Amino acid sequence: MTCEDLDRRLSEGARAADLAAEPAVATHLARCPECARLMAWLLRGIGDVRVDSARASEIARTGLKPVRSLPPARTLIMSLAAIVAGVAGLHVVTMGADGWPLLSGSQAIVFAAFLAVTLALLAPAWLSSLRPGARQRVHPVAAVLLLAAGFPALAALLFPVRLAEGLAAEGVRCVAGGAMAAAMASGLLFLVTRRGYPLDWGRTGALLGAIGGLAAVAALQVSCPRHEAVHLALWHGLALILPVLAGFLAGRRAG
Amino acid sequence: MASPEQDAVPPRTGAAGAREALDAELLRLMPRYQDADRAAADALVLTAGPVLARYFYSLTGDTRLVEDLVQECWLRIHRARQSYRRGEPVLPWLMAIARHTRVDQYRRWKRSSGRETGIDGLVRQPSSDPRPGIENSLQAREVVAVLHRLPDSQREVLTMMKTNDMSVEEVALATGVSQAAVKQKAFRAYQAIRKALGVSRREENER
Ligand SMILES: [Zn+2]
Ligand SMILES: [Zn+2]
Repeated sequence: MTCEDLDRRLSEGARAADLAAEPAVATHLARCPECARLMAWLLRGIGDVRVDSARASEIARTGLKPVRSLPPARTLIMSLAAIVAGVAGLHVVTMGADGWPLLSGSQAIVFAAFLAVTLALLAPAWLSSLRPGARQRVHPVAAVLLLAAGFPALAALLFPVRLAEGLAAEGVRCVAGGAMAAAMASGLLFLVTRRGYPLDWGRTGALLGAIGGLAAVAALQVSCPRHEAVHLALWHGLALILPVLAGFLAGRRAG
Repeated sequence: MASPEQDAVPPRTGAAGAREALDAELLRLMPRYQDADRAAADALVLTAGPVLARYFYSLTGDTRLVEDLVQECWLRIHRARQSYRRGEPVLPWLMAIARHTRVDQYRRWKRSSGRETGIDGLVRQPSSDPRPGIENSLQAREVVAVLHRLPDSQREVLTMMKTNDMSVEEVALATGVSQAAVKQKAFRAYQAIRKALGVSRREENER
């Protein structure tokens, strides 16, 4: 047993009182004044710090009415999937599916796989943001960055560069249609999010925006016939980035 | 008459037993609080209140600040109560809210004062004028004075582990970092505490 061993055992969560009772530790403590001093400090508690509980009770009783506990993870994930699919479907129904026949099999598969993977990362990140102290399996910033950086990169890889006239006019129409879909999906998901208690609203807003943006680019890929790298990366990319930024800023203001 | 099960499993005593009792009580009270049981709300305040007070006192060393932080924290717990999922451990949920209360309060304080100091600026020297209703022993002040020498993130981890008797996993959940990061912060904290204890000893000798 060395001084460092003791620090390691403590930092791994061993209780000081339990450690002090171990013979090997006791032997070391008898020889090592520094560890003995550390141990003595650890064994000293700060006692009870009592504060007036009447005021806290008053707060806890204010407007006390029954609340519904947060639904199970499966229910929440299913509502997220329903919102994304529902809004993307609605967009295609209203804007048409002119882009669908133009997609090659490999383009459709790779694109769908990318969106499925990013959604599979965004969903648990969103889920853990609903509940304080929830296990964070996926970092929300990493999931949002993967989508925001991966989408234009994939557009450049999968689709040819063919600059043509009328780029801006068509582009603005795609951004507008996409932003509308994203706003609808993010808004609906916000209603579910309010069932929880996100501690970091800026981050949660960005997540809501990213999930809405994902629904938007998925829908645009089907509705928009301009399958060209620059149009996709720039205008569809904007339909993805703008909701993320808007969600982040709105969340920060609200939180 | 004692049942055979009771004979086979003696109740745990000491710190481990106290933590188990706290967990069981919190698990029992939270669903009833969600169901708007007023007695459960009062019992929850009595059960969780000291945990929160110890946490805030360890981190700030200021009894007036503790009063404010505890009240603000209860406001948030009250608003957040639906986000607790029944059957899940209560302490990581509670302490994540407590932690956020302090971080937010620091941000507000920084905004209003326009100062560019770190979060350590919130920590004042342990106060020596305890107000009525707050027990603030000399021993507590000495313990907090040593914690005060640590950087904020290490102080927080150590406070949760030592003062609130939380496991590495619980601290990781409450602070939103990995268990490896918690262990590393704690390890550094213990090394810094050694130095701090050495320093305070030397200061005593010089006097
Ligand atoms: Zn030693
Ligand atoms: Zn388009």
